Amino acid sequence: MSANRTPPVNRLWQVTGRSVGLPADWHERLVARLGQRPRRLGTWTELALYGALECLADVANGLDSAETVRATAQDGGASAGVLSPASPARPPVLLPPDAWLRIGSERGCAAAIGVGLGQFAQGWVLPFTFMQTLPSQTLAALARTLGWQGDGSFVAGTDPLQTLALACTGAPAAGVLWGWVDELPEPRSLWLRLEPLSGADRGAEGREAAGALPLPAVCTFRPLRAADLADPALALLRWGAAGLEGGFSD
Amino acid sequence: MAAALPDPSVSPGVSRRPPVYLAGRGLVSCLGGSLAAALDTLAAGASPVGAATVRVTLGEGSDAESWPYRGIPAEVAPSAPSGNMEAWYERARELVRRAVEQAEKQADAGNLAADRSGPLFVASSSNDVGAVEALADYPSTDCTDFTRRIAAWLDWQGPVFAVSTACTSAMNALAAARDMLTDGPWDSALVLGVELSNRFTLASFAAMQLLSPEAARPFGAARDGLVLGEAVAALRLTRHAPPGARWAVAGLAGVVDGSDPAGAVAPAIARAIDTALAEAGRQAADVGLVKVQAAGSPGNDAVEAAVLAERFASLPPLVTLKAALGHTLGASGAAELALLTACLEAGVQPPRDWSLDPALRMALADGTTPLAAPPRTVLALILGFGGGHAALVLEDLDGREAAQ
Repeated sequence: MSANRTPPVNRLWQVTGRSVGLPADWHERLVARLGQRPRRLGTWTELALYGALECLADVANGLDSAETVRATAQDGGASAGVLSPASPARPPVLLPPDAWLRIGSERGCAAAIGVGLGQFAQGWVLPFTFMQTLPSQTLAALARTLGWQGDGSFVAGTDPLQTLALACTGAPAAGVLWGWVDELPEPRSLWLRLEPLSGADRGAEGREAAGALPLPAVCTFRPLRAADLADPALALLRWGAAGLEGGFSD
Repeated sequence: MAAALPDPSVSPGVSRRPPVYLAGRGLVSCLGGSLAAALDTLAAGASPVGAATVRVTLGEGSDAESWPYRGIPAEVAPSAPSGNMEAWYERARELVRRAVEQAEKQADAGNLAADRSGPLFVASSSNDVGAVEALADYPSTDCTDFTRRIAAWLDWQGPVFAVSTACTSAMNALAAARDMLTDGPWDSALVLGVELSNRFTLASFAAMQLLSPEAARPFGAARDGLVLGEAVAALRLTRHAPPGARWAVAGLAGVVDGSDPAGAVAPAIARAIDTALAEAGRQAADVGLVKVQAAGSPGNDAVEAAVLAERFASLPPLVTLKAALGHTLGASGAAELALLTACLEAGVQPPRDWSLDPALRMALADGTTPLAAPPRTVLALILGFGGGHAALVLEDLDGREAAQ
């Protein structure tokens, strides 16, 4: 990004949910979340589904924690421990219809394209194989699974930070669910739920009043690196002079 | 179906957005090596069924099937020999160069210097699969790799993105470019729609029984599928209106709906239209022309027609470019926007030589009757395989000035 140009409208973002790891049994966990084995989806799509659902479940867990904090603060600590602790089985929260869904990737459906070309070399292409070569099918699968209809897109590039910056640029007050998903060369599915803390129509106070996570008391900002995206201390994003900066809770 | 559509008077959460401006455009397509050539082809009234349509045979022996295809003419760019990856890339490079050169030339006429430091968006569905599909030992390929090649061909200095959402790729690329220009730090962006011939996509569409064996007949009584085509389109967008700019992208909305990933979904089309109009500060009654998706699909054409009939109390003139260009998939948003604006400026309409389906009640322009009035506000629809639905609102800046 150029350092001397107009900054974006929304300059400060809160990470309200994340899914950064990919456990060995990720597929079993996905099946458990869905209640059934996904059908006719490629591995790349399943990776996206896993991360997105885990991320939205993390939002739900965060809201539980926020409720606990709020209730404890309101009654002087008497209700501490009344609300159930965050659970991995907590169902995901809904993605608001006005929120954006953005998937980034370096290689996208490359594995499925390889399978499709292999079939083509044999003289035929199965329709479902071809569909798995299209990232739009992943967006459709996510929309179906999340019970969501809205603005979704897929952008590939070599730098996750660039696609993250693109996802934040122009995103609405309802924020964005952003994922960086690859099947090759190694499976990965990193997701962040981001909600703006600044902008024309919503301030930080409004966000807190609306029930989002309380802001970290102490936060240190520094230029964001790709490796930071998996850091659980990453709490805020903001636009700095050189592009995206990460705010890390101390 | 109509009962499921949202109330058009309500577009929750949608506010007006600043426009971006079309500063330059270029197109290489089955209609010719430039936009000027495309206009000449259309003005000559060449039948979309015949001109520039080739037939591609898939399979062998008794399994062989032949499909129409709207390829870029050999005199513009001869097809690369099958299995010659370098020749395929060299042809792609030349087509990209031609399209970008047209866009930069037009921008230059508006005193806008060539700028390759802003964001570049490459929109494609099949990317470079045509380069590798015939190789016995094909290399692994992906959209990032193809986009990186294109950026290198152009010596592009800014950030580079590959947008691949099937038929809505170019519309999503335009939306991303719009975000970068209106809410981001950039003043200029380039959107490339690149969809080049390959047998893999053709075979896949054939396997899904989506292709017409003869010709695309949008909203036609005898419509029986779509015809694929190839195109490279370049659109230079700017944050500020350059001198002489004629068109503003005033609204642009994409809606993904997963309920039918292989077909158009009526409420999603309606939401895209409503959102794009709300962003532009317009209502359906303001629209003077609709560039429909209408690719000739029996099902999707009917769904689109039903939404249009429901959304417009009185339908404005309708035009389709799918029969003329072919369905250029990921490039279609950019290719059709380039051709549509050029046609409107030149007063040229694509010919139509098929009978319309009376049940749809869509009075698609016949290509010979002039528009009663030049449209100031134009709605363009692109519907995508994979549950993508996009609507774009164009404002004719000349028309706006005339109205003032």
